[in-house]
Amino acid sequence: MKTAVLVIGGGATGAGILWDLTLRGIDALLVEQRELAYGTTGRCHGLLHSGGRYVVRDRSVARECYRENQILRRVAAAAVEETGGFFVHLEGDAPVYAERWAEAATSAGIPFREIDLSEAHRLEPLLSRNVRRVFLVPDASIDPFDLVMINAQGAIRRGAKVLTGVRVEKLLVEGRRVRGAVLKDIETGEIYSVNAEVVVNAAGPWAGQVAATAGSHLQLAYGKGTLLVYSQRLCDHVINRLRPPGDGDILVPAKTVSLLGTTDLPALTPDNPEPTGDEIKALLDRGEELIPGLAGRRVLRSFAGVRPIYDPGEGAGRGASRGFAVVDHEEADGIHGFCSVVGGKLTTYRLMAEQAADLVAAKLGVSERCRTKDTCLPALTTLAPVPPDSIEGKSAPLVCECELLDKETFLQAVRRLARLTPEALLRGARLAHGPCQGTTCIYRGALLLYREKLLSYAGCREFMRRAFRARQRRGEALQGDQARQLELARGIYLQNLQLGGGDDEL
Amino acid sequence: MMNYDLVVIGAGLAGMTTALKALQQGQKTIVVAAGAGAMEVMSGCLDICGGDDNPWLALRRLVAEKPAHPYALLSEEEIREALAFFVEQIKGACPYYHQSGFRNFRIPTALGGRRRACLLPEGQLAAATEGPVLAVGFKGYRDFSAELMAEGMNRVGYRWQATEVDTCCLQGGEGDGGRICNNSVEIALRLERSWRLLAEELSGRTRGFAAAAFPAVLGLDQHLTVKRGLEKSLGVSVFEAPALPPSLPGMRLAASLAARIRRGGGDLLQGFPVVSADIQGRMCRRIIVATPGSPLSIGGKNFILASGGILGGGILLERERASEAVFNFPASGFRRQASVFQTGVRVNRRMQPLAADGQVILENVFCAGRILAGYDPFSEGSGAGVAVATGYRAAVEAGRMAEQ
Ligand SMILES: Cc1cc2nc3c(=O)[nH]c(=O)nc-3n(C[C@H](O)[C@H](O)[C@H](O)COP(=O)(O)OP(=O)(O)OC[C@H]3O[C@@H](n4cnc5c(N)ncnc54)[C@H](O)[C@@H]3O)c2cc1C
Ligand SMILES: Cc1cc2nc3c(=O)[nH]c(=O)nc-3n(C[C@H](O)[C@H](O)[C@H](O)COP(=O)(O)OP(=O)(O)OC[C@H]3O[C@@H](n4cnc5c(N)ncnc54)[C@H](O)[C@@H]3O)c2cc1C
Repeated sequence: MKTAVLVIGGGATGAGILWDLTLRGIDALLVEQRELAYGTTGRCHGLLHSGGRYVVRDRSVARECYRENQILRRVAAAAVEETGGFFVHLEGDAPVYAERWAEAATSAGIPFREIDLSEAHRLEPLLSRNVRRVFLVPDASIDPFDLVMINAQGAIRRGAKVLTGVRVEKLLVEGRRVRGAVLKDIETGEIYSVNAEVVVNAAGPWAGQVAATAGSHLQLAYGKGTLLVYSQRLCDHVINRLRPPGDGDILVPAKTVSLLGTTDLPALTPDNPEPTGDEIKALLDRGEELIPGLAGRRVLRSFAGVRPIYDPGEGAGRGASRGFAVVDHEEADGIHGFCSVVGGKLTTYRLMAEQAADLVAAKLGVSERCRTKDTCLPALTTLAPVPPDSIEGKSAPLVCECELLDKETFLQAVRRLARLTPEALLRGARLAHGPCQGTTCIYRGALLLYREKLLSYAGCREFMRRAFRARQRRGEALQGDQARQLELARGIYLQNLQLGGGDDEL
Repeated sequence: MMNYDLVVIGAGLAGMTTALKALQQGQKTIVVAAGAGAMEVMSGCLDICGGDDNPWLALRRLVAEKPAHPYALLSEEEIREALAFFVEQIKGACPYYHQSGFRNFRIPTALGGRRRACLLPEGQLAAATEGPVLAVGFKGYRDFSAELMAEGMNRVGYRWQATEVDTCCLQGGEGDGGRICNNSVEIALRLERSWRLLAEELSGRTRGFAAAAFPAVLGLDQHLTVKRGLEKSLGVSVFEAPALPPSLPGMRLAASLAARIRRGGGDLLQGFPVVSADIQGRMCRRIIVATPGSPLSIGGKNFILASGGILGGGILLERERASEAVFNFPASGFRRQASVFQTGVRVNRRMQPLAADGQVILENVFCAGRILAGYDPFSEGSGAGVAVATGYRAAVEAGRMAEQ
């Protein structure tokens, strides 16, 4: 196999690079070890920052966010929901911080407007009555899965290639030049290699491991963050606590749910981050201050992601920079044909991709300029919201009412997946993400895939079994209606459908 | 204030069984319930213990393994007696069948896997057949795949085939724009009117089969007419395979039990939760029901707490603790992770609630069913057995108490 550029990593950064290179007419292949958005991108908060969060600490990052925010609203409109955001100062929070924040935002050029408390409560009825000041900023909610998909799909339509379920085992180095990579198909175990003129490492928190296989060193720190997903859309604006960034101080509305986050703890590895009880407790306690009663609302699930932080000197944690770096390994350690993109944020993925693609283009001697700033990403027509009349069953029948997932959308999402593993189906086709937590849609989805001959009999059972098990593993946040829902699901999957594993002897 | 000999909290299998037994004993009885409980979502088959074809063997193993299991409070004799009583009470409108000695049947699941079940409603009885079966699916109906079920059974050596009918044929020609009917209850109600059209649609297709399998949507109140009518026209036995809620077999059972209680002279107040209780010393005097307007107060000599577990609403799971909803009895066995679903109220042999130190908390309250600590109906296949047997026992204990 051969390609001009090999992009490693199917997160926002990798997909953004693929799109950027493709628009410049450069032949590129992206490989992702699991599914697209498997990494940090699929586990993030989905806040398209206005920059407000960073104005006090790091003005240039704040400006960068704001500029990108404005660009993405245009070019990635398909993934962005223009919610606007609140910065709320609560009674007891240091008043000087609000002043400092307003000054910093003014000088950073981030537009904001203070609004009346009555107006704030009209817009967000659940907001605490202890608010003292509220500032409106141009935050937005961005769907990280859709964002990756539109970048990847846009690129594929223009001739790029994407392989999922394929891991880069190591880079092929000849002399001091990277010539490609050894790939491993994670399902079949098959090993093969790909030749590339330039390799771009966009492996997020795994970037250090990838670079190490070429003998390069990238100092990365890992910051684990945990999020809680609520079963309802509790607010229509992003709600930020106006104080130095801390745990549980942002609530982001995302389609029919809301996400509360995050925590920030140093982590030792990027693999399998799990939320801990303490983190969940911290989130619930802080969230309660923003939205009274939040702790009693239904949490659908909790999950954690690992931030890749490129800032060896300062270490991890909130003090560390949210900036990014494009590392040319030729300069850094004398290895040619290889660069890495590290750090950053979802909000700045496009800019990161632009700078990485500039470097790649220079290495290839291509003079085409970046066009991602003003080329709109194609909408995923297949992920459009269901028109209301189809809810009644007139057009596409729904797979699941609670997340309005209709049959066609589901099947198209499934067909986009390279492999139908249970994990890929749950993530990539967004099954079991709504309030029913898969109680009905795991079964219905599986039946549908069997009918469409996308899953075999054994595959269909295995999917249900594994998907149910994955859903069952959410012990930590289990309470109230969430617990009732799970008990119902246990009755269905363990008793009615006998998917507990004990039926094999019969 | 209304006054009863026995006030039953909960209209699930446990509460209904208790009420029927109490009525048989001549007690003036009312059932007060917030909702329908597990019955309207469950499969409709009733299990004692699923681990073996002989449920008694499985039950003995279970109790040896889990000495705090509710079954450990009862003798096998009592469990048999309770089940026989239940079957006797429910015959007629919603008959249930069992094998001799309550040996487990082996029946297919909707996925074409196999499960055990002890008592089968008439609509699932033919599922135990060994003969060739035609699985019938409804086009566009999301909750059942005849092909999948047939493939599963064929893989383990049965001879099944699958076929499909259009749900339009169930509409009796009413024009509603060819809308695919996807709601189980709606299909069931339509079939009560138009099952003959279904039979016509299938005529000829069932030749050579011993039985026909359908999704569990063959009628609600008229289910026996639909099932028996189809059997007659198709010339084969007919059975249903339950999958997702709402469960028509469970709804039929709930409706028959409620009718039976009314016929027996019992009162039934459904739709309102009991929110608190009036306690004097170690006796409960009355309960308060949150009816709209002013709350209703119901007095009683004895009370049955059959308010279900986490699903039914009897046990409330919070962040760091679990609690019992009406009397605030301690919820025992609460541990995060796997065992949260075994959380419940601990009782003595008389089904009276116990405090952590083993003392009886209230003398005239008896607990039954999923509210009890120490078991998991789904991994054990013990849901209905525990509900019916402990419900029966609770009524007997309350009866004894009333005599004193
Ligand atoms: C809890 C949390 C909340 C956050 N919230 C926000 C937010 O609200 N707004 C915001 O702007 N940013 C947010 N961020 C930051 C943001 O999520 C990340 O900066 C961004 O998603 C990083 O994307 P990426 O593509 O660089 O990395 P990733 O998304 O991690 O992508 C790297 C990909 O590379 C793949 N990969 C790794 N090794 C290999 C290999 N050997 N072969 C093949 N593939 C490989 C991985 O599977 C992965 O999919 C948050 C981060 C966290 C942890
Ligand atoms: C999907 C599913 C499938 C199942 N399949 C089977 C099977 O195949 N075989 C089997 O044997 N078992 C099965 N079971 C288990 C079985 O149904 C239950 O274990 C059993 O029905 C529990 O009965 P119960 O009366 O104790 O509780 P529930 O049925 O939960 O009834 C509780 C009652 O109490 C009421 N209540 C709760 N709180 C209050 C309050 N504060 N005030 C007033 N009323 C209150 C509720 O509204 C309800 O009426 C299944 C269960 C489920 C969920």
